[in-house]
Formats: sequence, C-alpha cells, structure tokens
Amino acid sequence: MKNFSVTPTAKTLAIGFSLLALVMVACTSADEPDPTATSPAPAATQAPAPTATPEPPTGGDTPLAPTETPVVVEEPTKAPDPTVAPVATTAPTAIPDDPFVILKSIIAEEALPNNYTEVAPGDGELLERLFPDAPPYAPHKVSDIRITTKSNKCVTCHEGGFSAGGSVATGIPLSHYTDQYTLDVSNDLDPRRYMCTSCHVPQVTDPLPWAE
Amino acid sequence: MEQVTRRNFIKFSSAAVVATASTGLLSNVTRGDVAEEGVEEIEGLEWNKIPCRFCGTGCSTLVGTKDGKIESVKGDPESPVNRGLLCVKGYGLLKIQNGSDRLTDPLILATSKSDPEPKYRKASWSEALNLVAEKMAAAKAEHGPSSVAMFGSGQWTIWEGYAASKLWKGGIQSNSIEPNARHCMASAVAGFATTFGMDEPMGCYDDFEHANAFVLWGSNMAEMHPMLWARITQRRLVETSTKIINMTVASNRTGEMADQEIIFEPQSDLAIANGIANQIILRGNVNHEFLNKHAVFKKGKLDIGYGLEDNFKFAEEASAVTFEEYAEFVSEYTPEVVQEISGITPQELSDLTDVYADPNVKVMSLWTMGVNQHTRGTWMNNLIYNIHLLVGKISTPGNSPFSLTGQPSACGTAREVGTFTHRLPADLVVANPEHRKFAEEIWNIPEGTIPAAPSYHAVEMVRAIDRGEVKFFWSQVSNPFQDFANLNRYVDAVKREDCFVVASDVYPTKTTELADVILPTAMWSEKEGAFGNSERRTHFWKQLTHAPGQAKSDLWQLIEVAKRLGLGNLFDYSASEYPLNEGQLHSDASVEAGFYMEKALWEEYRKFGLGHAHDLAPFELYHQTRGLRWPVVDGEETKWRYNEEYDPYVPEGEGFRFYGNDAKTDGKAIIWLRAYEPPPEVPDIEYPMWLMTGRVLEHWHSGTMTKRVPSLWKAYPHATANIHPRDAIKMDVEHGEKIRVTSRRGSCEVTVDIGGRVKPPQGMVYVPWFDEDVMINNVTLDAYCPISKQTDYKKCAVKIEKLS
Ligand code: SF4
Repeated sequence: MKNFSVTPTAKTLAIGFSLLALVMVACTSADEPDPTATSPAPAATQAPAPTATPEPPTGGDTPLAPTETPVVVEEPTKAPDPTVAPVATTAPTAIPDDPFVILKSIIAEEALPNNYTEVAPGDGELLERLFPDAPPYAPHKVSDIRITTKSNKCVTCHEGGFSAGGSVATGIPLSHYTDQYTLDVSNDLDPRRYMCTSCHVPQVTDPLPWAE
Repeated sequence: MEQVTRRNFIKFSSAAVVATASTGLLSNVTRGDVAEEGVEEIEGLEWNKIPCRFCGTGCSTLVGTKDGKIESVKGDPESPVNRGLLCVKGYGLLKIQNGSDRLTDPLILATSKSDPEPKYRKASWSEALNLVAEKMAAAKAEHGPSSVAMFGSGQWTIWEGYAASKLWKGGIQSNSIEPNARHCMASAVAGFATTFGMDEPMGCYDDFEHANAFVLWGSNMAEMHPMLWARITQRRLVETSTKIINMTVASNRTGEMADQEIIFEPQSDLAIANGIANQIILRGNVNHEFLNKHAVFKKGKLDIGYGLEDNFKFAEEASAVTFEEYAEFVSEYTPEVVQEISGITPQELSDLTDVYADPNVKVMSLWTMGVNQHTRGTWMNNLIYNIHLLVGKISTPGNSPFSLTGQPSACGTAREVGTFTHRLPADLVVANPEHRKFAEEIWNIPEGTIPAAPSYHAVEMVRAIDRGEVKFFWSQVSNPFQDFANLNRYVDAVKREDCFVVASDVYPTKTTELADVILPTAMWSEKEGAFGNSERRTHFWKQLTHAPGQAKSDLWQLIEVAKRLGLGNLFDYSASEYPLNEGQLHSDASVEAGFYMEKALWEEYRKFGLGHAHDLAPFELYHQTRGLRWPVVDGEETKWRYNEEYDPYVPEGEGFRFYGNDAKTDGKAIIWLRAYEPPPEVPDIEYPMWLMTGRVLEHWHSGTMTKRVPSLWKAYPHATANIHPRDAIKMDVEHGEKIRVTSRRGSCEVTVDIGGRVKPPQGMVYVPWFDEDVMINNVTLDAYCPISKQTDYKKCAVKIEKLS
C-alpha cells in the first residue's frame, strides 16, 4: 500500500476556491413552485441573517479544511473481509498489456424485431430457468391471451396440470395457493397471483447477442 | 411443518424485530414450487433482505448467498409491501451485477469524445479521482461554482444522495445538482407543494385493501408497478363490487383487468378532471363541511408556456377566490366541452363522476408518468387533489389520491433528501435564509456557505452545457444521454471539449460513451443501502457481496473527491460514536473511513426532519424491520397523514389538518383553478401522428441492467413501435417491418409491433425508451411543465416512413 500525495492539486484548488467563493455567476432560476416548505423552527433564531454575498467558508486559503497540511489520499485497496470469501470477479475488458480499452457493450445491436415463439400451448418444451427458484417462462405463444376479471386462460390450462393433446401443462404449485404472509392455504389461487404474466413471460427464439 | 414453524415464530416474536436472523428459517416457506417440479434446490444458502432496486413499489427480496455469491432471489414473505411475491424483474436481480462487460477499472479518455470509437486508458483510482477533482476546481475557479454540475438519481441510496447534496451545496457551494427524478416525479412534488405545502402522499399501500374503486390516470400499473397491481387485482377479485377505471391515451395491459377503459386525447385529462369537478358540484355532492374547515380556493397564472426556450422563467401569481368563483370556473367544462376536447362521452364522464361523488364509495386515484410527464403536470396533480378535496375523500383508509413514484428511492433520496437545485433535506429550500441557516448548523459549516439562488434544473443543466456555462458534469446512477428528451442537441453539446464529463456506472452506456472519465461503480448488494418507496416507507439493506475488480460505491467516490477538494471534513465523523460492527461486511466507504459511514450520515441526515413532521427513526431500527413509513414518532410509523386518528402531528379535536400549509393558509389545502391548455406540439400535415414513450414490464429505465439479464433480454429484446392496425395498412407496413419515426428534432429506426401489449388508437405510435439501440429520445420534445420543470415525454408530433 503506498501513500500518495496530491499536494500541488490541493494547493491550486484551495486558491481557486477562495477566489471563487466570492464570485456568484448569474444563474437561471429554477423557481420553487410555491415555496411552502414547513419551517424547521431552528432553536437559535437570534443569529444574524446571512449576507447576500456568501463569504468564503473560512478565511485563508483552505475552504472548510482547517489543516494546512496537504491532503493525503491513500491508494484505495480492497479491504480484506473475514466474513465473506473473495468473489471471483468478471474479467476486465482488456488484456493487461494493451494500453487502450475500447468499450464494447454486449447489448449493442441493430434494432430488430422480437421473434416470440409461435408454438401453440401444449406443444412447448420446458425452458431452462434463470435459476432454480425463478419462475418458469411460457414456452408457447401468449400474445393472444388476455387476462381479465372474467377469464384467465393461463389458469384454465395450468390449474392442476391440464392435459392437452397428450401433453401436460406445468401445474400451478402449492405456493400459489398459499398466502405467503399469513400462510393460509386455500383451494383457490392466491388472487395476488392472478396476473400470471407479471412473472411468467414468453421468450424469443433468437439467441442472446452475447455468450453466457 | 414449515407452516407450524412460521406460525410459532410469529407468536413468539414481535413483528417489529423480525430481522435477518429469522429469514433463514422463513425462506423455506416460499419453497415448494421447484420441489414439485423436480428442479434441484440449492442447499446451504444464507438469506438476507434487500429491497428490489427497480421500481417505486419497493418490494423486499430475500437474497440467498453462498460463498459470497448470490445464488437465489425471492419475494420476502415478511414484507408488508409484496408479501412474498416479486415480478419478473425482481427475479432478474440475480443477474444484474454480473454481465460480462461489467466495468471494473477507472478509465480515462485517451482520444476525443467525438471519436466514433473512443479509446480509454486504464487508470488507478488516485489518478482518475485527482483528475476529476482538478477539473472540478478548475471549472469552479474559472467559471464559478454553478459550472460544476452533478446529475444523480432516484436510484441513489439515501446516504449517497445526502452526501452528494452536502458536498455540492455545503462544500463546493454549487446548487447545480439534480436527480433524474426531475424527469419522473417533479410534477408530483410541485403538486403536493402547491396543494398541501408538503411533499409525498398522505395515504399508503394499505389503501389498496380498503378502496372500492380505483381510477388510474395515466398509469399502466400492470406493467410498471406489477406487485401493487397484484394487490389491486386481489381487491377486485375478492370484493367483486370493486370497480377499476383505466384512464389512458392508449389501451394497455392495465385495461385488461379494468372494468372500464376510457381512452382520451393526449393532454385532455385537464378538461376531464375539471369536468368531473363540475359534475360533482352540479349533482350537489360537494362535502361543504369538509371544504369549509379544510380547504381554500386560489387562482394562479394562465397561459404559462412550455419551457422550450433557454433560460425560461416562471413565477406564480396566486390570488384567493371563493367557492362560487371556482364553481363558475369549472362550469365551462360541460360534458359537451369535455367530449370535444378529450373524446370521452358524457356517459363516461358520468361514470367517472359516480365513483368520486358517491359517498359510499372509497376511491383511490393513482397516477404516474401520464400525469407527471406533462407540460401541465403540476396542474394535473392539483386537479386530481381538487376532486378528492371537493368530496372530502382524502387521508382516510381507502380514500386516497395516490401519486405513485417510478424509482426505488425517488421519494427516499431525490425528494426527501432534496437533491434538486432548489432544495435541501426535509422539504427545505435554499431560497429561504432560515432553511439555509438550519442546514448550515447541522452540517457544521459557516453561515452563508450554501448559495441562496438555485442554478439549473435538469433540462436547463444540459442546455447550459450547450451554452458553454456548465464545464463539469458528473453523472451517477443514471444514464442522462439516453434519457433526456431532444437528445441530439444535448449529445452534440456534451461533446464540447470544454465540458468535462464523468460517468460513474456499472456497464458501458450511452453516457459512458461521452465521458472523459469512467468510474467503475459498486451496486445493490455490493454496498449498504437505504431506499424510500412510494408510500413513505424507508427501508435498508446490508452489503452482502463484493464488487468486481476495482469497482467502488458512489458514496466512496464522492467522499474521495471531497477529500481531494479539501472538503474531507464534511464526512469526518467520530469513530467511537459510529464504530464498525465486527462480523459485518462493511461498505468500501466505511472501511476507508474506519467508522460506520452510513450510520453517521443517517443520524446527521435525520436531524433535518425530527420534530417537524418528517421524522425518521434511528438507524438500527431500519435494519431490524422491513421498513417504516415516516413520520416515525416514538417508534410508530404513520399510515395516514393529516388525519388526527393516525397522524400525531394533527392537533387533537381538529379531525384533519393539512399542516404543511400552516403558515400559508392556517393548515388548509388549496383548491387551484387550473384550465385546459393545449400541448406545445400537435400532429399536423407534415408530422401527422402522436408519439408516446414509456417503459415495459421487463426492463428498467434505459435497460442498462435488465437488458443484460438473459431471461429479460429474451422476454423483450428490442423496443418496438406499436401502432394501430389501420395505420399499418395505411402506411403499408407489416408487423416486424422496419420504420423510421421522425420529428422536427430527429429520427430513429425501429420495427413495428401490431397488436402488442400497448394498443394505441389510430394516429398514435408508442415506443418504449429502454433500448439503447432504439434511441427514441432523439425524437422526443424537451418541453416541460413551467412549474415543476418536468419534461413531457408523452406527446409530440412525428411522421412514420417505411424502410425498404
Ligand atoms: S420491479 Fe417493482 S414490482 Fe417488480 S419486484 Fe421490483 S419493486 Fe417489486
């Protein structure tokens, strides 16, 4: 760990600051709509009101910094922490001896159409989840399914695992009949889960633009 | 078995102290899903709570870590907000931090910003931060403090926003600090300030389980606040008499669950709201008893402009009027006039009036960007409050005008900390000498340090870059050069060699592309944090994982720059008062300081609100609970403000008191006379269609995080232009074909979606802005509400051409 001093910078800064504290540039006003904020009712109100032109915060060359010693800034290092094992980090964007880095966004692409699967319900194959506890995706076409107070085709098929043309729809699990707050189990789907599409989204058939 | 465990647990523990210790036990409860389908469960996870870092709903998640790595994310069953559920984005949190192009080293631009492929040089933190500090000092020295600008976020943690505000206003002496929240809820703030004298909703999410009617005014909650929509859905399905009315300019998913969807012309909500007020008066449903005690009437300026010109200024001129004058004002908004302006039928107006006027219906009005991103956004907020005040349906369970916020801490950080040019924490303003003095005392800085004049609000800030006034621009937790409207002008502006741009970010973005220095940043579980959600709930999390490579938190970056500016004492607290906790993974900012930085900042920050209705609880309480809704008085949160029954700030015997207006109207709310005024740009022969922009369920803001999550990318990889099938026939385009959307300001190429989730009426195109490959903000108009300065992203005129 090496100490790093920024003396020249700090000095220049301080001079700059003290000169500038007196300079108020003309600013465009962001009008407070109707400044009606509640008063803080500070305890001591007898102190003199601030003058229109703010003075430098403190006299001398250093604003607010009471010390004349240069600011010493340590080269930051990752502090070892006993409680958590080190994490394998993702690779930096350039090889170490390459002096220049060109930033490449993995999501930069041409604007393309979204090609959702056209597979009919019942014909889709289970897709791998983002992680085991993540909700499963809809492996079939959903764009024409509307969930209304009167009809919910997702539930019609998936409740109890409906069998369509030889294939069985993924059944709605017990958790969806359990109020997660009170833990009451009901015969009816937890109504908060009625908007299936908030979690169970379709997927396009296109490959990801980056390698996983 | 599990249920018994949990029930017993609840019996033996006070709900307020259910901390992380319990979550390991409780996490099994939400299992079951995967076991039933034969998917392998991950064993040996340690579970901790963290709020979701996406929308303003503020769900709590349980994060399962193993060997310092996140292996699972699920809804937190202990959270009263989401009660064990998450939307698809919430599950996506698992992968937002490990995209393969994560920024891991400080980078300094080695070529020019106008280079189509700029090259960077890796630098040490010291070199990068010295350069940043040097440029800040030089800009201040040569061009004044206002030339040093910070553009932050409603996704800053509370202490990050607080530290930035303290550094800027109390250290650099610049009021040039703004959050991206200016684009998302400034009109809501100005609406609250003008009507109630105090920001943020009076009600809370508990209203969802009390209301019998929900009116959505420009809020596609089914996609944008999905877990709140889940609660409304529940209410509607369980209490079948509940009515949902979806007011919108384009049919959407929210409308599918609604009992009634009312499509109106852009901007005409102003006429509709006045029309409802008129009908309430004509029907004799005004609650005069409530009005006499709790409201006054005022008239403001009319014909207030659109903020299209540089250095635009607005000053309100208000005068008191009587109820009769108000009634006469709204009487012009007859059903026929409303129909002519908005296209809604007299029957629809009557249906809307029913839910507000009927004394037996408890009604919630809900709104987000449709109302806020509006050249009359403040007025529209006022008009919704007018309706609730006229019938006295406010501040009681289920009767609630509820402004939903977009970002996870737009309330907690942007609004409560006040990271705007004109603000200080806890609703205080820089223009008020007493407020400045109060802040200077808490910050322990000399009187007169904080500049009295606001400098630039967000749009003016980028315009000032173009004018050559802002010389240093630092963005944190935001992506301004994808999210400002009329971007072409500002992207060209920021390429000026004399404006030094710093971007703190986690991935390459449209903003890092324009930066002179890129600072790799820690996020979410890689730091300790605090957010404040839409219902005034403040909630905390502890750091769980390490940031990759050299990435450091925004807080650490701010403090390190402060030190280099000679302002390190702003963040120098007592190590004995705020010791580090043994065994806790502390943030880089705390480790560097040698004391508990977040706690020290919090305890200082909360001094601003204590005793004047913005009370926040001591630090530890938030780590022990799933959050608390302020004001927290004697350890008790407040569910309904301004109501004596729930709010300790209402004096006994008054019933209600809008005490934010104590000084101005003796605690009465203000009903404002606000007119319908047309938008600045409307479709014409050359640009015949409306353009509306917005979000989609699967993506957060500019897509920086969510587009890197495989399942979210695959769910909605590219932004599309949604148009009406008849418009498609007229233009001879088919679903999936490419078009160019062009306005007077710019154009963008995008593929057509017909029959997608958002179904605009004829003559309108909807393009979400999450996709950096579809830069729709090159097309949008940078007109704003003159009062709130919030940009209207919802309407401008465009033409569409088919690309062969
Ligand atoms: S994005 Fe919003 S609704 Fe979805 S999990 Fe996060 S906070 Fe909840």
